[in-house]
Amino acid sequence: MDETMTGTADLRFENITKKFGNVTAVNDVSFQIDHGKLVTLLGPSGCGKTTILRMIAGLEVPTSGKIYLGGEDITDMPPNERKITMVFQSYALFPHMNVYQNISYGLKVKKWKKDRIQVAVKEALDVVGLKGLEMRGASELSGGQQQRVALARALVLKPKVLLFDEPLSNLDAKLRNRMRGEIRNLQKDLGITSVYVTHDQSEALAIADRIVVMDNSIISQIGGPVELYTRPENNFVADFIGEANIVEGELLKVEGDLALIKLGGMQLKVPYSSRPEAGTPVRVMIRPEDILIQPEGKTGITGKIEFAMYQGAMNDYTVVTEMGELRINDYETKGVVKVRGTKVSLSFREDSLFIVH
Amino acid sequence: MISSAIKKEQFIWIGSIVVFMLLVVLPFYAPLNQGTAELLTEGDFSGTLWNVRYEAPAAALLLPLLLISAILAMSPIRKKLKLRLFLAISLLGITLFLVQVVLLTPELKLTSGAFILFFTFLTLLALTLSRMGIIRGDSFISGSILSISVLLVIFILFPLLVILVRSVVVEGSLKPGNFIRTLTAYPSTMRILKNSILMAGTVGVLSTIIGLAFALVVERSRFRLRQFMRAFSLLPIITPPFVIGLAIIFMFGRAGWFTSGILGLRVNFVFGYFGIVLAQTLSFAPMAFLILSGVIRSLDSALEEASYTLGSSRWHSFKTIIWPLLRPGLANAFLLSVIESLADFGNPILLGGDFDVLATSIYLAIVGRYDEMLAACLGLVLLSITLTTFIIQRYWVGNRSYVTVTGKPSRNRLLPLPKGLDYTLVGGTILWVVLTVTLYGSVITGSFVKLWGINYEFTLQHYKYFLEVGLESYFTTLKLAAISAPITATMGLMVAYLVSRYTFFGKKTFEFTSMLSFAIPGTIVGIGYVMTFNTGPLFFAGTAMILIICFVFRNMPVGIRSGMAALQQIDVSLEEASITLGASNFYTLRKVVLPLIKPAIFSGLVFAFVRSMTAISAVIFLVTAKTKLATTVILGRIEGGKLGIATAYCTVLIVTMMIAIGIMYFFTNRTSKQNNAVAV
Ligand SMILES: Nc1ncnc2c1ncn2[C@@H]1O[C@H](COP(=O)(O)OP(=O)(O)OP(=O)(O)O)[C@@H](O)[C@H]1O
Ligand SMILES: [Mg+2]
Repeated sequence: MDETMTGTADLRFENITKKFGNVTAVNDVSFQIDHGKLVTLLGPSGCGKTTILRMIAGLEVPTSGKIYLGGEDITDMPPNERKITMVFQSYALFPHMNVYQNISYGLKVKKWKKDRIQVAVKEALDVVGLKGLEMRGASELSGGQQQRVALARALVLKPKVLLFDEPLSNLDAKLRNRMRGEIRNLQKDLGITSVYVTHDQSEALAIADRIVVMDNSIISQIGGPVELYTRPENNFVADFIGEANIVEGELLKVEGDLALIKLGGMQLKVPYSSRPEAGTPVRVMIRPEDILIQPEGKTGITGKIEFAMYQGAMNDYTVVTEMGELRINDYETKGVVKVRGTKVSLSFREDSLFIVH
Repeated sequence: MISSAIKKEQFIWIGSIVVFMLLVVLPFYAPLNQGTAELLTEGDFSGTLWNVRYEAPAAALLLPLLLISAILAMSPIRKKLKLRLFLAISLLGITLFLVQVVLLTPELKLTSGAFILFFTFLTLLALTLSRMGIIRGDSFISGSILSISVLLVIFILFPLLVILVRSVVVEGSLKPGNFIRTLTAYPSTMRILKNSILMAGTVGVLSTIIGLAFALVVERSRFRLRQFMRAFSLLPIITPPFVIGLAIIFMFGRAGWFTSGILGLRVNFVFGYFGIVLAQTLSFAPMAFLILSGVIRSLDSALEEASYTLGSSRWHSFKTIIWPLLRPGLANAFLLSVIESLADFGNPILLGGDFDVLATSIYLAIVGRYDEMLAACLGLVLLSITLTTFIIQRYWVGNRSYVTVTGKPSRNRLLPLPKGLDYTLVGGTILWVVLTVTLYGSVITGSFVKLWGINYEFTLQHYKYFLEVGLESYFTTLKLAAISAPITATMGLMVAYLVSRYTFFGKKTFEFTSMLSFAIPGTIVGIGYVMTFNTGPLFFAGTAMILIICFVFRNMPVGIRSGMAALQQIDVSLEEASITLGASNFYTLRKVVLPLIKPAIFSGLVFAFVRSMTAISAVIFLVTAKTKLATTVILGRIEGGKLGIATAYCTVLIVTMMIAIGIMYFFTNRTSKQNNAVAV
């Protein structure tokens, strides 16, 4: 192993706060990223994702708190000594250099010998699938190719941590999906600890080992994609990740890891994770695809269709009920769309409901 | 990371040893008429190490401090404590140095050893500050910030302070009333002040009107040759002082081609208000044109089109849409012309006659009356007017400007002017162009005829005479301008880079001071430098060095502005990418920033060069028999009545400058084409 192959490391944020003047961009944030994992920072615009990423890179200094990389305190370490590289949203390819020069830039800084650089660049280009484009100017590339060059440039240094700031936001939808998969595969194959900023929840669900959901400078919830989707801890996460109906109910009784709740006129057994006491009012999240829509008269609550939209893969309904308006995604009855004003019966998949705060 | 930390420690250690070795040889003080070079060649000297012991007791303490920091660098104590100690040592060192130089031996002239010692401690301070994180960025950045700040204080602020002190300190005691007393005792004060304001006001209005007319024609006219009028903006750049003055004398003077030759009059009316105003308007209208054409170009035609579609007439749209957007630009052009007019020295000295203004009166107070006190007081008056105007321009109008001239050029299809206005403006500007061409032509013609106004026979005698008496000063000027241009461009670029990319304590002041030269009339820089650098620790009088310093600090705003404009076009994430890829700030500057702003650097270089070639108002106080400059020689010949050689010399300068500008266009166009090819 040569001297740049320092291997990746785990990264730890300890009570990090960052203020710009009197704006608090990041407020007392702590989390840990395990070696070799990909973590996404997800949240709406302005919630502090980029700021966190830039603090990891060393481009901003935390106002307070500590950052550890592989156990070493790097809070005050200058960015060029950190061995953490970044793929920028704008790619930031050097416009006066060709692909080869861009990728070899960091190796030249390290004063590598020319033949070693050549080998490394070739390997990096292979990895990102751009064989033979060495001599192209940076502007003579398509968006996707520029993206890959930026990735190769960051990868070739074998960084301890690889950072992505909304790397796919400049690509069209198709290409975005494909690049998302490629990045994930590469990251897994190479086992590089990665932090990936995005405000696109589907992108986060698709590629992350863990997701840090941020809301206005604080962490709202941390968890794996499945956990966040099925067991959001609060209203914000439930709403931000996927579509969600939030309805008011009452917690009647707890039985082990199930809870008996009263929802409208029904009593349902739903998964329970410790928090509210029995007898208190609760809010329950119901995903639109977890509501069964049937002709009037079947079990469940009744309602009247307010909006009905054909979406190809499913039908999208908004139904007015005694619990309020509910969004329903019906994947079952293809092609036939119920018309506005139809009375329907709704029932819920009990194991998919979840109590939120 | 550990290895790089050790490298930095080594730097301090090795640096201290190198400095020590230098100090063995290089002296701390020098006699007034000698520098280090003379001392070294004569061999009759002792290095700083020996001569501070007796002559500079406070500075002598710096040497043990240096040793301590070298030892400290290698000792294995905690990083925090070490940095604190370094901070204490460097601050103590700088304080001791200042105590020695300012308080204990203010009359002795410093030389290389002293400068090295001072910058050693400044470097140590910079290293410490960057490692403590007080200045973000590495030691290259903190070092640049500190050294440029020191230079700005010494060469821009300090001379102003000296003038201020000179006007209120009489025989060693503070007498604030002296300022008023001196001015009221001098009989012409009120007249000079009135003349100056009248002149600057008229010139400001006229330049703005003419600049606006040209801008409208060039940007919006149907006139097909309008693009040629763009060349108009280059004229003042390639024009040495006195050219327009001479031309006006040739055309409208006693023996003028127009007044005497055509009208048969023998009149002197060009000497005074009329002549100065005409000359200055010719000189400064192009600057107003540059400002206003930038504004007009960036006006969005969509606004006007929207206004037409809403049913307004063309004229009405012009009045309600363009005019309000234009007003801040007009104010800008007006205020900047006022500053230029007040600061102008060449035209009033040539054409003033009895009409005396501040800039010339200050010069005459020093040269004619040897009255430094009066010069200082008049200088303060002038300075306060130009500074106020500058501040209004920068902070009041500057903020109201609706357009950013630095943004990427928009490819708007521009709407032509209303017809009537168009024809009037084209007519007016063509007249002005004819006037300008005639005037320049008269100077060039004048250099080839025996005696203007009397004998129009062709001759080369003026050029022959130029070769005899002018060549030496011509080459001196070329040499000094060539030396100062790269320094100016580098410093300007550094200031632009630091200001646009880093935040540090006192940044606003740093930027303001570096742009201040623009608002300080050259005459004031001249007397300030004379009063500051003719005595004491920083004795530079009579050297080529003082001229170079003067060029650098007077022209720095040119470099800063072109640097800023270029840097604003570069996405900061390019530099951040470079840093995260492991490059230092310096490497990033060299490999990423510089290649991308090459054209701006190059044009900064050429403009610095050209401006140094044509400088007069400040350097006239600083030249000596050894260091004559082109412009001062020309002025001398004019005062001696030898207009022929003066015009020949001016023509040579114009040609020189055209060559410089031509080279610049060739290179910047080429490099910018290359850049476009790969720009993202
Ligand atoms: N350099 C800065 N100076 C002042 N405020 C800043 C600076 N950088 C970020 N902020 C502020 O900090 C907050 C968080 O910004 P940040 O860029 O981290 O958001 P983000 O989550 O990346 O948003 P987006 O999804 O829009 O990129 C915002 O309110 C922003 O205005
Ligand atoms: Mg962001």
